Amino acid sequence: MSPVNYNREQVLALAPDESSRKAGEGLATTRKWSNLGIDDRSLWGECQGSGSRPYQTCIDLAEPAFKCTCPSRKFPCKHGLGLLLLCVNEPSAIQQGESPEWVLAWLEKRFESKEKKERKVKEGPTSVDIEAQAKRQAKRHANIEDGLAELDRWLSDRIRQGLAKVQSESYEFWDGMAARMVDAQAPGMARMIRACASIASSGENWQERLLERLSIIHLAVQAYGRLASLSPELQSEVKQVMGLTVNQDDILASEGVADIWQVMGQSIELEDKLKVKRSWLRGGKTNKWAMVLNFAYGNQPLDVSLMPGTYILAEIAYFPSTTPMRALVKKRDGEPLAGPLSPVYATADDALNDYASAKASNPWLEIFPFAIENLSPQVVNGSFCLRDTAGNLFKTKIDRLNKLRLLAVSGGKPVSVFGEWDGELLRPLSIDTGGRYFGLEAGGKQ
Amino acid sequence: MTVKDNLVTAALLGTENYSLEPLSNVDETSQLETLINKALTSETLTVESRLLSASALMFSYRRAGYIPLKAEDSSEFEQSENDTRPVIAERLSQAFRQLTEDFPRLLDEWFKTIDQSAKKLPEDLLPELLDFLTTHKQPPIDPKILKRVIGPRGEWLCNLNPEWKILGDKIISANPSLFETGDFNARCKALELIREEDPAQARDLIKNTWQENIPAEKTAFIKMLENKLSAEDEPLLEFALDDSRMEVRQAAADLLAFLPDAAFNQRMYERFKNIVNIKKGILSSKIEVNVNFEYNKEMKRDGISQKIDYVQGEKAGLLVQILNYINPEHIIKSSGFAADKLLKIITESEWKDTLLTGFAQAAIKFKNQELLLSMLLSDIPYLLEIEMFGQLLDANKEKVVASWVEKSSGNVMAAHNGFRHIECINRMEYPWSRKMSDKIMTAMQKMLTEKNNEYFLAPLALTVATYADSSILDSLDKSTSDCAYLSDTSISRIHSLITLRKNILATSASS
Repeated sequence: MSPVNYNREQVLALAPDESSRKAGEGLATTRKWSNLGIDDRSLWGECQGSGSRPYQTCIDLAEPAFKCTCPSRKFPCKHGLGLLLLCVNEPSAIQQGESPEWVLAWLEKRFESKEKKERKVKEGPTSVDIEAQAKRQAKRHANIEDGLAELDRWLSDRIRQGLAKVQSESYEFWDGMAARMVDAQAPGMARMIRACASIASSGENWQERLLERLSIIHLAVQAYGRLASLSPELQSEVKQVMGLTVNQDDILASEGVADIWQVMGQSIELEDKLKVKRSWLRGGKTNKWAMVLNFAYGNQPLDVSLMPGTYILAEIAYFPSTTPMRALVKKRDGEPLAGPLSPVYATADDALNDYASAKASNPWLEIFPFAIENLSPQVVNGSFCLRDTAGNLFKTKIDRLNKLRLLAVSGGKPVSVFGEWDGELLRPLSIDTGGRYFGLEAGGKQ
Repeated sequence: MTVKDNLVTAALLGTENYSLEPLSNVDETSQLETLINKALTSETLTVESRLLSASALMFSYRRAGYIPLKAEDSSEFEQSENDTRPVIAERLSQAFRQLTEDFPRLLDEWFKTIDQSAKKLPEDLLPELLDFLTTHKQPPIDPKILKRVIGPRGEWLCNLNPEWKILGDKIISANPSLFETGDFNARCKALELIREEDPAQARDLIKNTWQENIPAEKTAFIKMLENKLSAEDEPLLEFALDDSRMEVRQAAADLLAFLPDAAFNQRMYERFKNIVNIKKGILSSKIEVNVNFEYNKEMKRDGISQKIDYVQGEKAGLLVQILNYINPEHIIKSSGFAADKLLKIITESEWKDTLLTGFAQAAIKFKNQELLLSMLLSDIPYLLEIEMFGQLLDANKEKVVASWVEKSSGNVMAAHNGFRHIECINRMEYPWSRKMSDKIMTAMQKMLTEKNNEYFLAPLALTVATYADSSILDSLDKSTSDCAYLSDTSISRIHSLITLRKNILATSASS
């Protein structure tokens, strides 16, 4: 059995690009390495490259994190990938041992830097920080207000002239206003406006969907205009809709929720060159949901520390919200353990009731986690649906291969399904049959 | 008009064209209608803002109060049969992606290992496997093994997904009405299955629809008679020889050539005898070729074309085609010579190029082992050498390769036409005998130490790693890892393949 909890696909998914992936695979052979070793915390080895001295490569297995003395700017480099792949492919090739000095030094440095960060969080910001931060916030607030005033006029123009006129507009038409929102430091609004472009050409009932989207944008503009009168949670929600970043140190400094969290499923979406990964967690004792976001730009790898289907003992800190969902992993203990999917709802009605409550308190809520037991696949009027025991049907948002996987695993019989509900369609992300967890491909095309 | 329709219409046409009025009959018990009306009558908002605010309320309400559709029982899937077999070892299922991406030739061994283990594949792997097998015809997997490996769940999936129905007759049944009404591919598949179950019915279907079929369909359907070909097919094939299109006639002639008692063969052999005279003497023997013959309509009917542009000229081209329609066994027997002797006489003839080309093509077509073996063991170079080698039985392939290894003192690659011989070895896609594996390994060690081109060396090493007996794998791994003529990438690839194969074999042994 492999001493690390990753498989080949998970390691290759860390590669920043195709060439690193290939090169990493090429280095996953014992012939290239000397002084290989592993202990509970780390994996290390020396790889002979083009230089006179071998490159020293080590991996902190807890995350994983990589360190290599090669000059590559890519991260992780091919040596890091090759070493981890070697450990996955040929575990017997790497013997348990005591980590050498250079590995210990790196691990110590990492530990120190983590401690320093935690100390900084505990100590809180300095007065100079607070003053500078307040200045920056005021400037940004003014920028956003200017931008939103322009957006409001633009929305009014669209409604006055009629949506029929915008249907034939190109993507540039929407991109123009989206770019203005980026300038106004409201990237969240820019994203919502960009999405309108595809709605306008989405076929039957496009006008209804477009009006819905524009009305929700309008609601956000109005809400920001009277931000001070809103509850702190709703204020935070509105700021997040605008795309204002929240200081993660502040979140980590807040009180956490300790639990055994199951990573129920993951989805990945691409926004321009930005990859956004959502990891959905469910607390076994607290029955709380948590969504951990991870971003990677261009060829940068996404975080792989949360593995779907596993349970982790962790403390989660939530972003303030009317429907607390987005969170950070504040602290985790021990290795992840695999286990079956724990369904939360017996029927669609139970799940929809929770969604209704959340949507009522947060009109900008775009997706909500559903984990329902005994859902059977079914095709209705050519659409792939999932049906609960009461005969309720969910239309799905699922690509071809994932649909076939779901069918293959279920055999047409009822299974537990975890997925993201957008108010209309369910996107299945994982299934469980007879206590066996199957993660569907997170980045499947919809 | 509902509240929603009213709002959407106003937004679509524009407030400058459509007057947005407050709700006329507000149900005071409805919180939603009250709030929407409040928004629509707000004096502090512009008309556009009123419309957008009311819409936000209405759409949020609709989303939150989503009522799912109700299912009808009739639309349920038929459920798959249970497969109670345990799941295969994880390292065997993990090997799948590496196999399909990098080493598909090892799939055959993977399938056999799974089959022997009497375990099932993890179900989530089935879609990718079935997709792969649909798009990649190589390596060919024994349908019986495939059926056992994919199990009832795989068959159930194949029935759900039309793209996977091509996987075999176990999954769709022969259907004559599909032959009459389907598109070209469906008709071919239906005919193939009907021919398997009832050869006479397949003949009748072809005959009865002959006039309606275009030449490409006629050609394809005639070719399908190859399965279960018998003397009873002769009338239909003779009938097809009357078709106006050459490709249809050639398809029929190709099959008639395999019916020993068919009139077609007598006609063709008569032609051959009139042109080629094999004279057996006491001291020497020879072949005479009579070129005083003309292309005629009988030849045309029998699928011989005048238009083929052979370098040797029209008569040589016709002779090659005639030879191509005659089973070489018949010529060898009636000549009274063994194949190698006949070959020797041919090489002394001034028509040797034409005759060798014709005999080589015929040997390939009729898979005549005696002639193929004689040709490949001789030192005569053949353009069709790789195709000829491909038609040999496995044991004969090993005889030929052993001879190449001996003649080249191990360095097969450096010999004349060595690159073709390497290509032949690369096409030996079956488990090699221990003797053959040892012989090739000895040759490999020589080739890896002498200067050789990586372009040929690396694929050869991968072939050896895939098909040779497992006893040589460690030795191959070591020899390749030290080879100065292989790049690091090639060495790693070879090593990965060896490791993967050893893993599969270890799983096989443990199960």
